[in-house]
Amino acid sequence: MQTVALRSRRIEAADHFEAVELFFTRGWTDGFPIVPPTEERVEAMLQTLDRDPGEVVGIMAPRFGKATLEKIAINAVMAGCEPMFFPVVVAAIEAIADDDFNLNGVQCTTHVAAPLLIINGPVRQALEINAGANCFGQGFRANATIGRAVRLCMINIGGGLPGVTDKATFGHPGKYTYCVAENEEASPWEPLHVERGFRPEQSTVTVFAAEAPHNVNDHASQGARGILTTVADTMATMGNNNMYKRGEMAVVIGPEHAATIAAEGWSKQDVKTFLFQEARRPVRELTRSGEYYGEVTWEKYWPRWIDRNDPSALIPVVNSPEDILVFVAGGTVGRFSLIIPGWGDHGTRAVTRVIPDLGSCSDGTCHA
Amino acid sequence: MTFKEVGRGLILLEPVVEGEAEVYPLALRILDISGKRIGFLDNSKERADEILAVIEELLAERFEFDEVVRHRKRYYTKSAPPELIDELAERCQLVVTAVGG
Repeated sequence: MQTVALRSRRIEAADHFEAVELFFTRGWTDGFPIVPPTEERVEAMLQTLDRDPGEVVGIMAPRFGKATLEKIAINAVMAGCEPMFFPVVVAAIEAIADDDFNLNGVQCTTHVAAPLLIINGPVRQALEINAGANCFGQGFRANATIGRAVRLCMINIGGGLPGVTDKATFGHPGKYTYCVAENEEASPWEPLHVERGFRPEQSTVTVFAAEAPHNVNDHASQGARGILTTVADTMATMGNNNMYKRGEMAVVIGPEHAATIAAEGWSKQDVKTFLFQEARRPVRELTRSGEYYGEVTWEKYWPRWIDRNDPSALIPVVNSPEDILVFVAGGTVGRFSLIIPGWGDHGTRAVTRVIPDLGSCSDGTCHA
Repeated sequence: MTFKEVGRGLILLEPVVEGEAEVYPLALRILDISGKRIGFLDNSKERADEILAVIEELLAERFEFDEVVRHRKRYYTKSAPPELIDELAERCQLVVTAVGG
């Protein structure tokens, strides 16, 4: 690939340590030390995609900054990404900059929401993106740095600054990094990206504006109905945004739970339908407190078919089974699943983008 | 590529993007709003419609308007669609909007 001159302003630092301190001082970090983005490192990142570094991948709110490949590469270096991770970061930025995701709202909301990246396809093995034990936790460079690169772009290109434009009351640890792969190998069902219309051999990233995961512990139930009843109960709480503001919710079925559920012949659609039917609370409970605004809630959010005059009528936590994103992830030991509430119906939907092919890789660098 | 010291004196690339704002001159202030075409844009935050309704009522007590145009955004976290902004600019001489919440 021909070397194209990089357009970003240059800054000087005496050494690596001074560079790290400088970036802290300028407010360009997430609170952790960064890898100084030298020209050499940024060029190595850009070489994985044979495209003009000035290409605008998306516009990132609330600053409406132009996310060029060059700027994304700089932030990916800072995050500690290996060059071969770059196409995943680019696809994720494309996805969150899509109007359907509503990055403006996700960046600025008082709610906790952060983009969760769900990776599917062969890229998971190629880049060793963890889909198994501790996949939402620490320990894997790809999970840690890809998610971190996206957040640094949200800060430095999008202008999401805590207390200034990012008005989150709490935030959550996923705002440092929030990237997992689906455990397609342990899943008895079609992967998330196939369900969303992609081919199994394609690699994709799905972004979803998400709260932190909430554990569902059920070691006792020995059947599908028992396990999913526990999941449904955990989904239907007053405090999550879905109950009063609708939108999508993610459910991560652990491999042990998935095996038990599938052994009884339940398909993924069966799982989603059951959860839609069971993850409900009665009118009398939801109207006594919570994020209930009376007529506004009935008119704007809750389904028309609920009988508001019946205190026992059950209100589902989502509007349809299709609003539940189900995928399999986690280790093969431990009978757990997770529920991950979303931000609600604030003009955000999960968005999936194809990750460009890595082509051939050697010596830690890849060329498309 | 593994991390390694590159020696003293680093040249680094700035990670930030500056916002690019277009500067528009302010529209001329309307000193007499009688007989004008007025719009109300509800941002759809809770009770924005009530606030705008009260403002409309108070204004209507004092002034007669040639036309009143009312719109409500679908989501308060997203900009109003360009076609809605264009319509308001086309049809109205002044617009009252509720923001925040």
